[in-house]
Amino acid sequence: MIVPSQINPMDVALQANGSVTISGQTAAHLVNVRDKGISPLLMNKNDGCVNEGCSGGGTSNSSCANVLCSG
Amino acid sequence: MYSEQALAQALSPRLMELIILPTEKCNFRCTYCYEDFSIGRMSKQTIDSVKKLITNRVSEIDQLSISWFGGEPLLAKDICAEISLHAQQACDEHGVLFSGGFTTNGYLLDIATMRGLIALNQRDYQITLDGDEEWHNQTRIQPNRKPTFERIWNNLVGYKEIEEQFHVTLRLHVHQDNIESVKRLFERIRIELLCDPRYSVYFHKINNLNPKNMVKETLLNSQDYQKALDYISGSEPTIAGREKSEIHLTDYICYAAKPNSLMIRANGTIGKCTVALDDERNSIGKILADGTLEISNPKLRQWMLGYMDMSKSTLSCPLSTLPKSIAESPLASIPIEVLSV
Repeated sequence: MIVPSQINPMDVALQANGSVTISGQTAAHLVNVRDKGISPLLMNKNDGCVNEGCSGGGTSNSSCANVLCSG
Repeated sequence: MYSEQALAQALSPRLMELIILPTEKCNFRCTYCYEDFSIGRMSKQTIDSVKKLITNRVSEIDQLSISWFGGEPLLAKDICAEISLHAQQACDEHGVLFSGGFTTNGYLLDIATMRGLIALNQRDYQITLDGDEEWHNQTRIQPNRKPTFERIWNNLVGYKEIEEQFHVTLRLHVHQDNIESVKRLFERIRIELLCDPRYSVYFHKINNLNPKNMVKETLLNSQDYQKALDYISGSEPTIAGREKSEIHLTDYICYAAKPNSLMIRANGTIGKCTVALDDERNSIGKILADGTLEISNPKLRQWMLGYMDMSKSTLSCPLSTLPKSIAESPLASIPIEVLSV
């Protein structure tokens, strides 16, 4: 669970190409959440999480369940 | 407490939301409007820059959302169509989910225009009414003060003929003096439009957002606003499953607080908030000719202060607690920690 004080805006930056990068303790907390299979949207597209199109409400990899497609 | 889903969507580098103002001119002069209409159409160079930004970014994201704002965006619908078509093709090529929509006064959104935009996957529309014809035509008027209700209403009814999927959110503005009028309008909408699930109603309290001119309407306090909504539509917090006003939103994080959401103004300036257009704190950078962004991250971070304590009031409206300057920000005393993960 993400609790107050775990997201520090100083750890967030917008890059010239428009991408958001998250570093420091904030990244550590969010990765911890990701590893519990809760927030895969925080993963980068090519780091092992495959979006399978939500047809089954998730994916075969439990750590990559698509949180946008709960139905 | 915010859900992890809401936070993930707010922070994810795999999502990108662009709020684009293709023109800041408007064909209306709503009596309470906070905009000054000083910036005209987006230049060809800025249009090309936006397209390059999308091209550069699309291979690294899963979802792209474009929200058209203005001014009245449909005064520049050719620009909306050009960028939407480019985005649609780029997203199709890379398997990226693409969606979009308009905040529009609805006057220029006839059926043919709606059909054309739906073909570009622009399916969400927010159209505002200020009450029934009598009240609406006092406040949402053209520059020559001519009325606007009848044409908007005819457009709204006409969309029912369209077979494709879309959604029109009817935003109904409420203030002390138009409560009876909004009640009459809501009944008309309920009978003529809400039978189609592609329409919904969202009430919103008129506020004074123009620092230079106080609005003339009599504003409601929170308690009286709640009573007015109960009187108009009953005490249920939702209408057809959707939250019915800003006071009924849960888990809401304003786009201005999301680092993956950017406003691109007609002159290429990058901002966060669609209200504080004249505020220097809201000018965080600009888009360059090659589609890259020149961004001040210290200014961007001021819009994210709500994440530090998960303050609902700050995350739902970061402008409300925005520090006057970076030097006065709580972030000024926080050291940057470097940690590899």
